[in-house]
Amino acid sequence: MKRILFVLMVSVLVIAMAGTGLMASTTIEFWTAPNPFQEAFWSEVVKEWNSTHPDQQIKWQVIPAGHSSEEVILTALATGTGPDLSTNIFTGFAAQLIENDYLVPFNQFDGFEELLKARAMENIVKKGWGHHGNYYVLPLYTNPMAYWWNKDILDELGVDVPRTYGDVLKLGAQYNDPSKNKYTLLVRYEPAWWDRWFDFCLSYLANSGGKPYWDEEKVLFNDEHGLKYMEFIDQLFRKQYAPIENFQDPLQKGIVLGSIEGPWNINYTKEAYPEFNYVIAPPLVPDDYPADQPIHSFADTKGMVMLTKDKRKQAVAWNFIKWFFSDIRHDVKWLEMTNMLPSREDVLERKEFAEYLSGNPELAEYAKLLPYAVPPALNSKTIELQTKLNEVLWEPVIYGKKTPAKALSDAEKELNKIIKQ
Amino acid sequence: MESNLAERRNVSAKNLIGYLFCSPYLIFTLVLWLYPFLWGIVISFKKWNLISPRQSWVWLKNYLDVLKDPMLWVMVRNSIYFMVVFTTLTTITSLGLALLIKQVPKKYTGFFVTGFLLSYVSSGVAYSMVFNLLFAGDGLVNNLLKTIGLKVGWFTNPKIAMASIAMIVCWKFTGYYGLFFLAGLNNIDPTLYEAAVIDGANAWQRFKKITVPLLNPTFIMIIVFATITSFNLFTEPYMITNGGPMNATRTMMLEIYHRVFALLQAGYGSALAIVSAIITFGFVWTFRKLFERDDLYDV
Repeated sequence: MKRILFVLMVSVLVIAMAGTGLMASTTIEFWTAPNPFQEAFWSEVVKEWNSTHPDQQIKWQVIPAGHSSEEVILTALATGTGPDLSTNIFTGFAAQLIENDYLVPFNQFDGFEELLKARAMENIVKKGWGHHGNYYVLPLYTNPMAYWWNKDILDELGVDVPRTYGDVLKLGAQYNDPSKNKYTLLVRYEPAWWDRWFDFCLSYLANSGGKPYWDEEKVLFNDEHGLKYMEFIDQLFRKQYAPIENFQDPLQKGIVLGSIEGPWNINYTKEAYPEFNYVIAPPLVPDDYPADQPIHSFADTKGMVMLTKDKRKQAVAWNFIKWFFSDIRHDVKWLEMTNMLPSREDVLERKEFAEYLSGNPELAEYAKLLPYAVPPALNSKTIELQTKLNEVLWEPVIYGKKTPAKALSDAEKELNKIIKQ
Repeated sequence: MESNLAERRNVSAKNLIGYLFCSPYLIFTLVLWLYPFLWGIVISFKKWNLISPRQSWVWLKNYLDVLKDPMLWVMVRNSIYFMVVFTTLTTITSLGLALLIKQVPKKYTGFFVTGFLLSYVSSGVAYSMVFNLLFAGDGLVNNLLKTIGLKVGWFTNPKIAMASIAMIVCWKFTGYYGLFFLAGLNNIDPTLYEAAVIDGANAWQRFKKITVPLLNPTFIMIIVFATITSFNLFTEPYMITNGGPMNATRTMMLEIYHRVFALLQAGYGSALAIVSAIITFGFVWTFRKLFERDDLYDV
């Protein structure tokens, strides 16, 4: 009888505990960027979390293969197979998800303000990542974009690293020879919408002193800053100083002298082309750009978002976020494993980062651009706008079908139509 | 009377067994073909952004938008360009292949057919990447051309980008279409050739007067398949050119995918899919009317 009573009591206790969630383990789905260095990083971080939090498990995977992370995530959401937590989200895509009620604002959770201070990202988040008073994205990294120039060839030619469009055109006249696959500057001509971040958007930010190229109301790029850059592009292609064919690693192979690159290419170049000698420089500017003014650049910056509406999963996700972002060890590890700069205001000040940067001079050059690196202009229709930008402005100028002024004016009209829809 | 009833029961039982055997295919068709097709038609009359529960009826607006969009005619032009290059190239290569395989001793035929079919079953994503590297500015093809002072922007010159894609797709389908031609060639009565030889016809005359006319059903089938392939082209431009340069390789399938999954315009994408199906059907119907002959075996 006693034994029966004991078994009964244990059963009741187990049921009660399960009912209150004490024994239940909650698992959340977490997706991260499909990049081998980030994959290695998250694999270790999630392993550490899972081993120390047996009741709050994370099922981690990289974002499945596709043309872009955005398309894959949207497809997954449409079919109800999306993640609870995801990285690799830029501001415009976040705005699109917010408009469709997919994201959870982080500022509704206890400890949000403290977390911003703990990670030294209060200004970054509040100035560039807000959406109508709420904060749905926590920035993970900020990659300022910069030009790489082939140092050996520049030295051979006896010229300085180009600073202005005029310098590049002079260099082209001296060096260029398409018949021998010798070009001056690589300009990306692919029609993928995101490529326009790294040429037109970046250069507009550089020329205009960091002014956005559009906002949520209208297009802002049809001015002298946009025109100067597109005239430069027009000249580059008319004189064949930029190749129109596609090449594999043209900069590292010496096919072009300069190219816009992100810090993620440092490790790859070191491994694949150990002999390649290059200089990292800020974006090119027009000839009349004041020499004493800082040069702004585009910041390829992505963050983490929460998509689950389940309160228990939200609690686990928020605990993980607090654990991850509040410990500087994670950012140091991130820097070491991915060679990407964490989105913190103290990267240049903290000794934890200084040690790594002093041993990695290429990345230190990128870190110097951090104060002038501007995230993508906020608009929920970014993908549609940049697709149209390519169609109406970029390709017609590259292929000589329109003058830069006409192409800019057409692009302004077409893009404003999309914004006002 | 009783025997009739028993016979009917027997037939019904046989029918039931028949339906049971067919049921996997019927269920598959209903669930994975008919349902999405009908759902696609419904969506084409709606405004829906795919990830939101909000859907509103807009009736014919999506269709009007599709027909008013100048891009539709750019895509139709691209598909026709592709179709002309692809159909011509593939017909020549696959018929040539079939004629060559016909000369091979029968015991080796299987080996060659399997070999040429490998391109058809290989992954579109993988071979697109390989061709992209082969045709790159510093790829193998351009390096060979460089020796004679030539350099071609295979995927970056808007005038030839679609033809380059057609060459890749031709590489894929040559073995597959070659099989149809081989079957067609095997169906031609050898006595016709023997009679022609006795009458003094040379090889070219035999090919022109016997082989080509009697392969008419195969030609029609290849043209129908090639037309459908042309209007359904997706993987190669998606992987290699993404619709560029200057929209030269933008196809309807690419645009449907882009509209639905990048721009979240599910209604517009569905309407375009229906319009695309109608255009494809129109081309197939016209070709059959123009080229199909049913008097082949009339004396």
